Amino acid sequence: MNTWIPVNRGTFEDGKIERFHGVEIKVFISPYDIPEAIGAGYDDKIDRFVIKFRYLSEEPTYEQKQDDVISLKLGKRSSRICEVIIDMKKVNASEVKLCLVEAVTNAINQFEKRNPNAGPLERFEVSKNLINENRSQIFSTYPGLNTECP
Amino acid sequence: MWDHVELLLNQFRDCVFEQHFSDPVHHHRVTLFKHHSFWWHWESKWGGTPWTGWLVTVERSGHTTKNNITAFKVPDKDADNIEGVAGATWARKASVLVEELPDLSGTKGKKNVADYSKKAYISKDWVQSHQCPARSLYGVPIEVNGKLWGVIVIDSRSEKLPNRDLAEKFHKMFGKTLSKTLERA
Repeated sequence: MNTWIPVNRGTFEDGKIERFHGVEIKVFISPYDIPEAIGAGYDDKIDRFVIKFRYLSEEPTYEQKQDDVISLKLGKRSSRICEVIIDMKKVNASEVKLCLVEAVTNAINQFEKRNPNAGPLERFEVSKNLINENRSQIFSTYPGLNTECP
Repeated sequence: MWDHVELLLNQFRDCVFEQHFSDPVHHHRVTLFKHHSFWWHWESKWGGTPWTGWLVTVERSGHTTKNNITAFKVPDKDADNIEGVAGATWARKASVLVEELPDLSGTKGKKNVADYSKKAYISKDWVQSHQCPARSLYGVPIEVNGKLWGVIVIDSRSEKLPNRDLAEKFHKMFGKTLSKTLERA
């Protein structure tokens, strides 16, 4: 990884009131669902740009292709997003002026839709928010890339 | 290994209740529950079958009330029938905070029993037959190798849980150590 960005957990620790089985409770995202750090860089071995999430708990992963450009590496047990793998050659070749952050968000949304039982939705929101908030730093390792939406 | 776990739970307790240092240790406790798909105890009187799915105490902070075994139902196929804040934490896969539980230290009035029972996800019979001194409860999921292993429940006689943020910080610092230690459990 070229860059590791520590995650400020405070952003996700506000909690929310929700009704659970008829009782109002305050719910906070599991500490295991908030990454410690988010990393990014070009992986020459697989010839892809990779965004990595480092969590409290480690587990085996599997890769699932979301579209022509983006694959997700997911926790086998938790379905947490551990890596977002981007084929930059296809991004560059794309005739559409691709907004990469939006494309990654869409890929995660698609995964959520296809896997409604993959776990609390908050864990996917965290991944999307972190990529969005840190997009300049994440993609700074790949110059000349358009990360902003038109 | 359990000595190490106990040490971590004691540190967890001291961290969250640092301003309540002079209170008796059993007024603010940290309890570790492990999930069992099958569990049976000769004293069991909590209902459910041994195959229901249970969260059972395995370790508790402090040196008092350590031998009290508590078990809460967490049926995999019937999530509506979970028991306790431990069960809610397990089912929700998130940290769960319940505060301002009724004070049952005096006479257990019907209204207070019903209110406590509803807010803490336990039956009225359970409230009647157990001492329920906790006024606030905070459940945190515990994972081992990416799999939900059990939960930690902090119970306190304080109406509001002090320093919830410190519980989070402690988990950030020692959660990995705890999960690694529990791999051998």
